[in-house]
Amino acid sequence: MAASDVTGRPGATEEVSVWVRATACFERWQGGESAALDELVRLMTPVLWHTVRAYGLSQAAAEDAVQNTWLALVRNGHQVAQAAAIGGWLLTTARRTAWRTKTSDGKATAVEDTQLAAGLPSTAAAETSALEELAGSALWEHVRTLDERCQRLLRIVAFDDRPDYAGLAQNLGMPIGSIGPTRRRCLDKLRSSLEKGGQL
Amino acid sequence: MNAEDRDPLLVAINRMYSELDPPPAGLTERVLAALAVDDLDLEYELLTMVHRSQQLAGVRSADDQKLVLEFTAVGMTVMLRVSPVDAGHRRIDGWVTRTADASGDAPDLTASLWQEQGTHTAGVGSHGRFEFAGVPRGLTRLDLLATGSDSAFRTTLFEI
Repeated sequence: MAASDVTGRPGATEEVSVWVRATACFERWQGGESAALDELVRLMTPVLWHTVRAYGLSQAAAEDAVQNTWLALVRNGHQVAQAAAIGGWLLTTARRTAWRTKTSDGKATAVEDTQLAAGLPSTAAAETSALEELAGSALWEHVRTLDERCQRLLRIVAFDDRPDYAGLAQNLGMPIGSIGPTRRRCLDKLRSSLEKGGQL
Repeated sequence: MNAEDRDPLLVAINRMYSELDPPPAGLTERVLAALAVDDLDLEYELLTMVHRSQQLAGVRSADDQKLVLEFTAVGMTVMLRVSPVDAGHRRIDGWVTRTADASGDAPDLTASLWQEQGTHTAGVGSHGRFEFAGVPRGLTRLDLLATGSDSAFRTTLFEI
């Protein structure tokens, strides 16, 4: 995406983005402030969780992948040449770990998605039209109808505003050039499903 | 964020997953604990958990469940079977499979089990088997250290 320019990103003004805060923490940690690592862990662990879960890992395997990502940072953090790249480095490492786990365990669960759906209260959210008011469970009813690749890609980009398209392309088995169009197509599909359901 | 990333639909998807599939309670604390007990002077390969399953058949309660864990790294696979001894203790049976190096022989291994209460060690037999007959429940990490060499393998922290 040409638009993912590090310096001139519009819209990041209303609140300091997670990426900017991650960079600041990492700089402080590199400067010798050990508590800054704790802060970075608290900030980025949820984002890493959603990234590895997007690959369909079980809860236990996802937790392991997140832990290994942080251990890798402590060991190899010096490889991160620019502090501003820390967010991308963590997500790429997490995705690589998740992908390796996924490919070495044929048993990695697709089951949990069904469990996720079964545990949801069935909502009649017809009266809500704005997305801000759309209940997560109602949105999930539409997201789950998308194919696995769409679900994965959308979950990843929903938590990563500047995904590394090259790495993603490799993991998802797609040419780099098709990620942008696929992402648009997945969003269009979801939007039209919501419209048909009367929720947009 | 660029314009496309600010699509309200993506914002809604972010909120949905945060609500429906949040990180497990205590994950951040376990990460911090793992980092705190990581001794940086030891070089090791990370063993990644690829499988964890609970064997539920015929048990009366969660305390009686057997647990099977599998970890891999380049050149090594470790399986652990964790069975209950009593309410507070677990038995661990382990199997290590290694890809032999070019010379065909792999150095002897020692299994070292780290827990908050202390560390337990056991030799790995010639068929790759090792056991810990009774260790306390709780957060655990397994290290496999090769005798007379710097090579070491380490898992993340896991609950037994």
